[in-house]
Amino acid sequence: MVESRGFQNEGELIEALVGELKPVVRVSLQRRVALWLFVCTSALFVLVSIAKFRGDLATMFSSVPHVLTALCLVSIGVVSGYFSFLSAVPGRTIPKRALLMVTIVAVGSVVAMHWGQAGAGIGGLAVGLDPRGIHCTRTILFWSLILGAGSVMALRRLAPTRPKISATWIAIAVASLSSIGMALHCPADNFLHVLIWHFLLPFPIIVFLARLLALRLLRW
Amino acid sequence: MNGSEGIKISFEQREAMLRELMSRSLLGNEAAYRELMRELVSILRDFFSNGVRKSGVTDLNVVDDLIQETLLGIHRKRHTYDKEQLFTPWLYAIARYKLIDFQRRNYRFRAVGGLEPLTAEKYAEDWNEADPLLSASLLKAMADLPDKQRVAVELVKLQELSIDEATQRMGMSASAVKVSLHRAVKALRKNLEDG
Repeated sequence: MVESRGFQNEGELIEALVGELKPVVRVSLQRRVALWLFVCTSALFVLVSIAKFRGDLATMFSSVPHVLTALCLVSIGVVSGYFSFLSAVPGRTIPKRALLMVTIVAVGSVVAMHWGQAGAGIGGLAVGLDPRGIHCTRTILFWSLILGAGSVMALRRLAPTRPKISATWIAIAVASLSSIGMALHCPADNFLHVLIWHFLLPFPIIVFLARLLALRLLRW
Repeated sequence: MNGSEGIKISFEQREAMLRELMSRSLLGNEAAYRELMRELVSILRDFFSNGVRKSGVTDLNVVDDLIQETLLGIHRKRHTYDKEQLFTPWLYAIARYKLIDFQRRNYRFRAVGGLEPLTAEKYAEDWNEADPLLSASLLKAMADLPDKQRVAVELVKLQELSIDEATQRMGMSASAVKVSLHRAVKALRKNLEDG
């Protein structure tokens, strides 16, 4: 591999680069995203298995609001992941309304979650605000860190020319996937608990960390 | 045909030519790749000359460094180019990234005091005690080096720091430090030979 070792002029460098030219097989963006999603969901399955799945999974999946919430999170994860990879291809742009679309779906997931609790009575303010919920946030952060590390490696194979944008989208993606994992692990369905400890706390932290480390991690 | 149409056509022709060369290069055609790279050098020189001047940097070597780094970037990331897409936005996105990266590094470099002006007298004053054998001509040659190259020599050759340590101190990539060092040594040798 040619490295910048102080070539006397561009001509020397060009000859060195031509010398190692090989035909390139281009992997489509869709295939890259599909591969990334497969690896992330597999890793997440292992992580949740280690932490143990909740006991009432069958009941959970028979509940329409729960399924809707999970679907919203999956779509946020997939779409954000796609936008992250798209932004890592030089010259490609993300639709201007992307963030609005994702926000609408996120609000949709919260509404679905609330709907799921409406019949049972929301009550449980004390349960929702119980500081022990920090365990869920911590676990989501840990899972996101693992998924994020793999995602950064995948992004670095592309050419992220706007590292902070790519990092923000990938952070939203891994946070969404980790939240789905947490929904499969944490037995507490209390609306406030899920909203605060599964969403409102971990998401901003993950996005903040990703933007903070973006220039260092996605440099090429 | 009016003027704007003329410019539009010439841009489209250049885009078509670059795209064709890139497509053939991706298949491994060496001649096309060589021609593409030569075309890119002139395009990038214009782009970086403007960008670097706006950054307030007067060292002309910076433009050469940026061109080389961008050509390397294009070479390593050529698999990200989609033949169905325009070539020019892809090229400029990479060039802009390299320029912003340079400006960021340059800012950090200034922040650690790497670009403070240094005179031959100041150098002599600093180093005479440390190494009396260092001749006045070498001191003068050192002071005449561009700031980036001078600091690279000072850190790696005189203070005997590793490339990694110099990289951290200067806020530059390891390859950029090596390039600066290489150029500095070459310039010093030439300067001393010329007397």
